[in-house]
Amino acid sequence: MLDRALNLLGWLVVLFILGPLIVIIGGSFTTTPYVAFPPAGFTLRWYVQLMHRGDFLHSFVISVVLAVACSAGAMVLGVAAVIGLHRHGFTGKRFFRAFLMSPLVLPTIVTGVALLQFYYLIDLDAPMTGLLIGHVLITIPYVVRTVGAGLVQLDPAIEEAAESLGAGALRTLLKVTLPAIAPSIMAAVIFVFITSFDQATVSIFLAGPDVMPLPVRIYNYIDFAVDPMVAAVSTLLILFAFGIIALLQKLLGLNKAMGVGA
Amino acid sequence: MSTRHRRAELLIYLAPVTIFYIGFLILPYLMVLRLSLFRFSSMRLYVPEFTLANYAAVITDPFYLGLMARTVGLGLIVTLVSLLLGYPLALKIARAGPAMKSALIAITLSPLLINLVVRTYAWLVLLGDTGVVNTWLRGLGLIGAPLPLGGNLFSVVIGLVHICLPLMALSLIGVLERIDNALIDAADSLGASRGRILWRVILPLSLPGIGAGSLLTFSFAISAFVTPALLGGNRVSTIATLIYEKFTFSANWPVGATLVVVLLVINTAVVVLHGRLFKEG
Amino acid sequence: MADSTPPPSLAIADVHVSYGAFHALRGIDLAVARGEFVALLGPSGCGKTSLLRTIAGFVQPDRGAVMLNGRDVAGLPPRRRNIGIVFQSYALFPHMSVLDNVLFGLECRKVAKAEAAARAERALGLTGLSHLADRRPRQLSGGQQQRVALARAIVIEPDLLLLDEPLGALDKQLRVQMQTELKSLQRRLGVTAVFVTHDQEEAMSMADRIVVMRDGAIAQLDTPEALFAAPNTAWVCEFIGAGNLLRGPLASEGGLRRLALPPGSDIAVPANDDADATVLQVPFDKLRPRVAGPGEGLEVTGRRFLGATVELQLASEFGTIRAHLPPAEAHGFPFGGRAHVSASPDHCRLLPDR
Repeated sequence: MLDRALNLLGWLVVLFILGPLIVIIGGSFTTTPYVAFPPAGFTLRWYVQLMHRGDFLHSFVISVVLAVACSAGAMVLGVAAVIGLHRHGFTGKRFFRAFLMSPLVLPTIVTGVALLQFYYLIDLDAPMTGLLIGHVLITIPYVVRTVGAGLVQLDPAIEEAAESLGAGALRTLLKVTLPAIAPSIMAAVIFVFITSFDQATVSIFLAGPDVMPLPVRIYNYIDFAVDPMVAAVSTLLILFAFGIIALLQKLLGLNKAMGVGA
Repeated sequence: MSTRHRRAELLIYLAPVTIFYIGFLILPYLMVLRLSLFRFSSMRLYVPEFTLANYAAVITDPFYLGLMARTVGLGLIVTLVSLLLGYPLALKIARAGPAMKSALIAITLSPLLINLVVRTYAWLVLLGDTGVVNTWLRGLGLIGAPLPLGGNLFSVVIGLVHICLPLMALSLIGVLERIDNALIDAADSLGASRGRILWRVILPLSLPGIGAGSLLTFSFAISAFVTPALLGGNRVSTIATLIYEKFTFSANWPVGATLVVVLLVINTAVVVLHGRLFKEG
Repeated sequence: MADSTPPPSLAIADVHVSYGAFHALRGIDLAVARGEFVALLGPSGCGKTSLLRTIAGFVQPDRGAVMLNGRDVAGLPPRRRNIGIVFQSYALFPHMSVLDNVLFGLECRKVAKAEAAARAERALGLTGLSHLADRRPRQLSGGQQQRVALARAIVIEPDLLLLDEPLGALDKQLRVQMQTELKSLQRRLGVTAVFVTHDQEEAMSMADRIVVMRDGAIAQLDTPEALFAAPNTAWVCEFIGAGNLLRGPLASEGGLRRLALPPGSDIAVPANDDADATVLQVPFDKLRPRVAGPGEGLEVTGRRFLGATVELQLASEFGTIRAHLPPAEAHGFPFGGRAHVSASPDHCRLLPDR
């Protein structure tokens, strides 16, 4: 009885999780001027309309450029930090690690506001730079966590073996350590890219009228109209996300990538 | 390698990120703190004169006290609902066979990879007066007038639960999977019904996961901005939406900064409380 | 069965269990009398744990019946069977104190508070745990945890006590001590008990009767003494270590069949009608070695000190022959020396090679 009730409730929750996404995808093909589900008829006109929206396309390009730049920045700073933590013991190491993870714990809206007023204070009037700094800041913890987990699993003997064979510190790093943790580096890049690409809260505070990432563009548009064109762009973003899930699954197995023991 | 060499190497690795954090995390946060102590001016954003007036206002004004109570209340409701929905889901996943488990985990986690704005938009579409749910219910003849599903506390809670559920489920799956099946067999052999096993064995053993998931959910819910702003239809204000308002439309930065500090204090208090409640031992 | 005899505590008839294509149990029949202590003994994968779980109700048999005190328990979940189980991992509830662990089964049975407390105290007293009632399981040693598991299982006054490798996680010395305690406790309570083990020594020292299992079936069911004295197949003999198994040509000779050993050695067995019986079994301690001259008899290829006895290993063309003798007598047989060996036909048996 109880088992059956819980099981049914479990299925309802699955429906609750997936339902809205299904409604959006289905509704993006509706012929009605509002999102209907099941869709009334079938049309691609909302997708066509989207393709004619220069502002959305521009925002998409900005989001991609931002996510790529953010990945590069967060990886350089994050991987260096993780390797430093891995290779050296020093007092306060645990504290330093917690410090690196702190942007994940701090509310994103606070980070957004803090940067907003700080840029005003130092007179930084370059939205792209400002956005990039904000995105790198909130994505470094993902690098520290994912690459850090990869390094913990690495057998320390392989680095010692390389050094015993005469490899210098730099050669060991480039030829042994980094290739050995390549899967976790790949996972970190993907996480950082998605997080940056999807970031809305920080971006809302830091975007400018000419530098508006896609989530902010959608946010502003929704505030003004809820028509099926947003369903169309949402569908594309959902497909994009599932593409990345598939990629992750293929590269490392999703459960492992998400840190869930299955 | 000599000690000096090692020091130099460590510096090369850690200096860039440290400088970056000091410049763009610590300094901005300190500046917000400073801002909260400045006087508001309607001419300029603020006047750099130190005052505790903002704090005095926030702590005594019934409007702000109500705001804080509402925000904490929202956080508690979202946490409770996420727990009630997440627990059966996590149980189901923990008990499923390998293939079903992978599929369910993928489904549970997939929202994490989908844009927050998109997910919020989906609920906007579903819950509006002329939204999908009301249209269905009217089509079925179950209701005459649309139910007030959108633009209120209800829709904000639903939207936030939808976002927090994967975080909650993740925390729960972790602990549920670690419960030894022999414990359940043992309880069964001692005469315990399914309900008693759930209540006396599984639930107590999953408390750490409940604690961790609730902490994540609560912290997220009280500081969420996009979801209450879009789904609340200007009628549901939380600390976070008011912070946005103070820093944009009304341009009252000192009070906005004070609210930021309040939000951080609540967050820290919850983390400390969690640490106390779920101390190992 | 006569009306006056009470039904056995446990009766199993033709039980079959399979997991997919794998047949874990293939037709088990077993009756356990009230107060009896029975061991299920066998190598891993023989089905002993499946049988235990079937009796407990965690596994439903494909076919056959399980009767507890004459009552068919088909389809009854474990909680309705009134069976006490001591799990291999003990399965103590980590979030409850020792006392709460013991009280749990009484709470499920809605036993009144005062009575439950009294019964729990008695169970803790019997297992020597009274002073540890407030501890958590993880604060206890392995032996203490084992006792808690036992107390928790007996406090519900089960109709049957099942023990799954109950002493497997303990070190050797503690294991021997617990064997004695467990046995005497079972006697005192008069509870019928079935326990699973892969350790033949443990089965021998505790059980009234032993069920030797192999490939999902019962290979032999007997008292320890009878089992040791008369294993019914070569496999059982080998598994319980009941003597040498010699496979070689046997020459018939006036009611005896004699193994073709070098002159001076003599092992023979009374002839037997069973055409299947082709392997000669002789217990290790029934062989009498004598010193042989150089090049005569069998070579001593190994010596093993076993405490009370010394094992001599003699190379024959039918495999190594092992003889156990007192250390003083073993003196004359150095490593690499030669020995004749003989045994009285009364001590030898022929077993089917299964």
